[in-house]
Amino acid sequence: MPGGAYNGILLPERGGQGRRPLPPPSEYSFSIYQKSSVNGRGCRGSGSGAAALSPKDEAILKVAKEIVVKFIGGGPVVPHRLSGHLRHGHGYGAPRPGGISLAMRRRSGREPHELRPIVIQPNYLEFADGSALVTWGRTQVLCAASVLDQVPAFRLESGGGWGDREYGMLPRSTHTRQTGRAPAVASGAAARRFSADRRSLRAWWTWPLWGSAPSFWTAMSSRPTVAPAAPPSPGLRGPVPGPGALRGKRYWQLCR
Amino acid sequence: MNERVSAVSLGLVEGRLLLDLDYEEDSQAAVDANFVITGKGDLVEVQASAEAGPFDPALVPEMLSLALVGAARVARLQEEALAPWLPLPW
Repeated sequence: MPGGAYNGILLPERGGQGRRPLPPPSEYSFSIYQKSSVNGRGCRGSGSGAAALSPKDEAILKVAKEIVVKFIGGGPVVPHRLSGHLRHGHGYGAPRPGGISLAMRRRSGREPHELRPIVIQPNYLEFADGSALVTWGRTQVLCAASVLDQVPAFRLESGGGWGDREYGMLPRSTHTRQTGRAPAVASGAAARRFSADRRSLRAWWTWPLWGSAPSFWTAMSSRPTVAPAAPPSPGLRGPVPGPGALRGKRYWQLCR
Repeated sequence: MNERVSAVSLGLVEGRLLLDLDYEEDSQAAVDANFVITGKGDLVEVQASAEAGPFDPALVPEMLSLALVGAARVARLQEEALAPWLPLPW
C-alpha cells in the first residue's frame, strides 16, 4: 500500500524522510464518536450533512427512541439498514429485528476502539542493556535486551548479526498455574505471540555489521499486585475516532 | 533501528469488533486477531483465527483499520516514553 489509501485511511509514502514531526494537538482531535449511520452512507452523525432519513427510518427511529427512553433510560439508538459492524462503527451494530441496534459498552467500560491504560517505564532493570516495564491494563510485561558478542553458527559467514527472543509467563500469571519458565515450544496464544515477536524484531532491528547479537527476554505477568508507579498516559480515555473521522486522515495523525 | 513496531489484538465478541481484548472478552471471542504494525503503518504480521466457526472475509478490512488505530496509539506512547533518548544515535 505505498502512499495510497486503504479503507479510507491515507497511508504514508514509502521511504519517508526520517522521523515525522509530531502534529500539533489541534490537528488530531477527533470529533466525538458518532454512531449514526443511515442507508450505508457512512458515519456522519445525525446533524447537518447527514443523509436525509426516509419516512420509514424516521418512524423507526422515533419508536426506538421512545423504547429506549422508557425502558432503558436513554442512550444512543441508531437505525441500521446494512450489516452493522461490517460497514459502520467498529463494534457497533449487531443488527436486530427492525433494523435497530443499541450501542453497548464493554464490560470494562471501554469504547470499542479503546486500549487498556498503558504505562511504559524504560530502563526498568539495572543490568540489562535495555529494558522496559510495560503495564497494559492488568498485564505487565518486563522486557530486557542483551547485546552479545557472538552470533549463531549459521550467521558466522554472513558478517551480519542476529536477533532472537525468549518469552515466558510467570507461574501464577493466569487462572491456572503456568509450568516452566520459558517453554521450548510455547502453546496456544503464547506460541502466536512468540512467532509474531520474532518477526517484529526483524522489522525493528537493523543488524549491525560487526556481528553482535541482541537477545531479548520477556516475562509477562497478569494482574500486578503492585500499582504502577507512573500514572496512565493521558489521552487514552478521550474521544475515540469513529470510522468517519478516520477517512482522509494520515496514518500519523491517528498517533495520539 | 529501522522502525518502531507495535502490536495490538482485537476480536469479534458478541458480533462486535473490539480492540485490545481483555481476558473475559478473549475467552469468548469468535475471532481472535493480532496485528503487528510499524510506526509508518506498514504491516509486519497479520494473524487472525476463527475460534467458533469460519468468519466473513468482509471483516478483514474492518479489522485492519481498527488495528491501525490501536497501533498508532501505541506508537505514539512509545515515542513519548522514549522521548528523552531521541533521536537515537543510529
